Amino acid sequence: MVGALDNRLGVSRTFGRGAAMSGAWEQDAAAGFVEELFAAHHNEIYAYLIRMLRDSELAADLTQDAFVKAYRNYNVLEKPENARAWLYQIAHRVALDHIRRQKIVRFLPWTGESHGSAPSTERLVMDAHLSGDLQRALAKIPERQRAALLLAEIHDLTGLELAAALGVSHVAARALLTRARESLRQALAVERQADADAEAEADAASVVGTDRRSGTAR
Amino acid sequence: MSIRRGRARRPDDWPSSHVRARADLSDRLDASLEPTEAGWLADHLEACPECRVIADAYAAQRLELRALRDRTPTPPRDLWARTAAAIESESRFRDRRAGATGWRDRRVLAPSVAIAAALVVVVAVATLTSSQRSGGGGTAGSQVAIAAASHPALFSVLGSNPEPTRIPVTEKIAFVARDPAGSFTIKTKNVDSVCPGTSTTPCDDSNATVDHPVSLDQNASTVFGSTDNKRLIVVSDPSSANSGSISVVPIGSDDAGATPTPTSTAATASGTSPSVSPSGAVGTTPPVPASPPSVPPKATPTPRATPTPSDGGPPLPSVAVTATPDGPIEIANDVVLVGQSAAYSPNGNWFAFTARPVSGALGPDIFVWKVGDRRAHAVTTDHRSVFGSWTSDVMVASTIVDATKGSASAATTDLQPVSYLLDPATNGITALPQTGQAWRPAVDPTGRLAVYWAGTVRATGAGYAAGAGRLVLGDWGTGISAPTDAPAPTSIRGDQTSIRHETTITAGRIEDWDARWDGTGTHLAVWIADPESPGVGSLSLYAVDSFDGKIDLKQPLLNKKRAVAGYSIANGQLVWAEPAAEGSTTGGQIQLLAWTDEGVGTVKAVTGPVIVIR
Repeated sequence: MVGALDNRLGVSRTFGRGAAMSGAWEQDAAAGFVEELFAAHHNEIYAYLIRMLRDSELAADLTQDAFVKAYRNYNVLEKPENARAWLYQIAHRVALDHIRRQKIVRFLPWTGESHGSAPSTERLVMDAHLSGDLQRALAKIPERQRAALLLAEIHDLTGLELAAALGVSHVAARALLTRARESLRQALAVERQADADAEAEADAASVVGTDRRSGTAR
Repeated sequence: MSIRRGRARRPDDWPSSHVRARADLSDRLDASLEPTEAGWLADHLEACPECRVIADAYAAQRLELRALRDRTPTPPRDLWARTAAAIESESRFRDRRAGATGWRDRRVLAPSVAIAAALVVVVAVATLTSSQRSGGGGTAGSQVAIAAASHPALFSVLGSNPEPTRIPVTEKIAFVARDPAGSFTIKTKNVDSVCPGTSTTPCDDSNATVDHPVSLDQNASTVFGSTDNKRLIVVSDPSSANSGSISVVPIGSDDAGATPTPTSTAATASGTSPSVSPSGAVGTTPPVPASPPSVPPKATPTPRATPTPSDGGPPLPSVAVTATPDGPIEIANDVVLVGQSAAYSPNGNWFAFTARPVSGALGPDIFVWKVGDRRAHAVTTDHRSVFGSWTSDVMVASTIVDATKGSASAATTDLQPVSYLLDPATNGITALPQTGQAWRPAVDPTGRLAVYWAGTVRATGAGYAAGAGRLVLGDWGTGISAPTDAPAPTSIRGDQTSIRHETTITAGRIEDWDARWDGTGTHLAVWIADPESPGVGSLSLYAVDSFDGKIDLKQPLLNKKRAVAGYSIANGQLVWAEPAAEGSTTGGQIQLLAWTDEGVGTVKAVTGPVIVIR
């Protein structure tokens, strides 16, 4: 894909930090390259981010961030055939950065106003519409494990691609996947047990309601 | 997918056969197991019904996960337009940083980008029209501004001014201003746009300021805001007659309480001042902590008396404030703030600062004030300790040890800094020998990097100052440290500069500095005092590249701007005060630098005698 892009643009690409191109020309090449990357991969990057973060608007913002970072770090990519994994690596870091920042107690500038901590309406709506116990379980496992599972099982990254995207060795990626599968199994079991308990409770309440309406003493 | 297998683990590597089985069950989903391992797994599954359940669960959850492939979310239709505009903005920003002037050659993005951006304009204009009909807000207007900034040729279509477009921001700044009558008033101001770049004279912000119903008298010199905006900590002017006082001033926190005219003030009188706490407090008798910082025998600081500023008579008032339900509390008196690194803890429960007695009889100690308490308390008594920063909700502190070099008559003694963690809740100390010579570390919120003085310290008449060394940005990962009862000398063997990946911010004689990170740890501001006039100095701002996590000190977002001591940095904004005049240490104009996805810009917001609320 990249080779074809380069031919179309007439750009003699040299990858790596040592690449020396004139500023304007390099920016042209970078912009064209990222445009092509965007066309080929923005759907899957957006899908990955929305699955990681469960927030469509945020996923869109971070997709944009990821491609801007790709543009900014264009000359870091050494092998064009690694562009997809590289893009996932950027998206992965962008997502983890965001999650990390959310976890840090935010210092807010003094503004003369009290800060509320209520969740946004959008967040409440999103949480209310989670599609099933699988996604709830996914949301509960550690972010890096979630990323590994999503990239491997849904985004179909191969072993080395997965390792590159996660920024770890392939042995570490394999170990991470093992832990992720076990975490998900346990989280799913908890979710399903909670669902079963809730259903049983609802059934019991329904029976009691029926009995009361029919005047049956239990 | 397939996972290339690494070194096969020996059977006795596994903590149990079930763990080994789970790893095999996971691995075989990605690639075939080696025959021996596959055989072992088959035997194990045969004998382990629980593992067979796990095998089924792994297979089932894989199918469930893969079913999600069919439910691919659709990105917003304007995602490319937004991305293209952001890339364009990034490109312009690079040009500006590279020193280019004016609009750069419009070759950066392919024609499709222009079309995409034009679509944004059309959509935005349509949305704007729609929102105007419905009384909607300004989002659409922002989109127009962004898109138009990307493609100035479109200005002619829109009939706009071809001057550089302002960057929309939603920042609010707070400061203390002195009116012609000499009294101070808290003011806030909304800033909704900044002018791109930082090198040229900043443009004006015309929004009105809002006064808040609290005022301070003319003795305030340094003001800290709390993270919940419910109180200020006001340090009196050291040159005033009633210097040496640090007070907490509760404030109304709602905008509804803001009025154009400050309410009347009531001086803190002796009758309203808090009494000295029985246990001893700042300005009276700082208590000896449960684990006072001490140092190993060879490095024991010279024993000094516990500071006992006068507790005779009522504390002198330092601020006059509007009466509030709680009233002001003087948490310390007869002390002088040392250094610039005072700060609230991230959870907002503690305020830490370094102070010494006004008399200068003793060196600096660290004090903490717990929100709700009547007094601040000393948590060190070695008179050599200074507060550096917070990491999580624990203080990073530094003290000084005497290190003797050479032997016999040729021996010389250096004052070497060591850092340690100090828990304000327990006074527990954790030594950090692995951090080397590090004085007053300002640790970033992730605990990964820190700014600190790497070198020796020199004694001054009133305390300590940087000696021979450098102000550096270095790795901070402190690793695992066990709680101890004393700071420990460095355990670094070898070149600290290379081990800690230190990069020099500045070297040479430094009287004082103030390094602070924004809440996300992606932006670092460093103010360095002038050697001859430490109340004024130069302020720089650096950004962490989130791609590689590095800071390029050679590419500051703000480069050595003149600023009086005391600035505010938060997510997306840096606020500082320029000196009122050459050589003055009074703030004369507030400036705001804001950073967004659209770039970096500045405005000058207020002119007049001002103090930035830190």
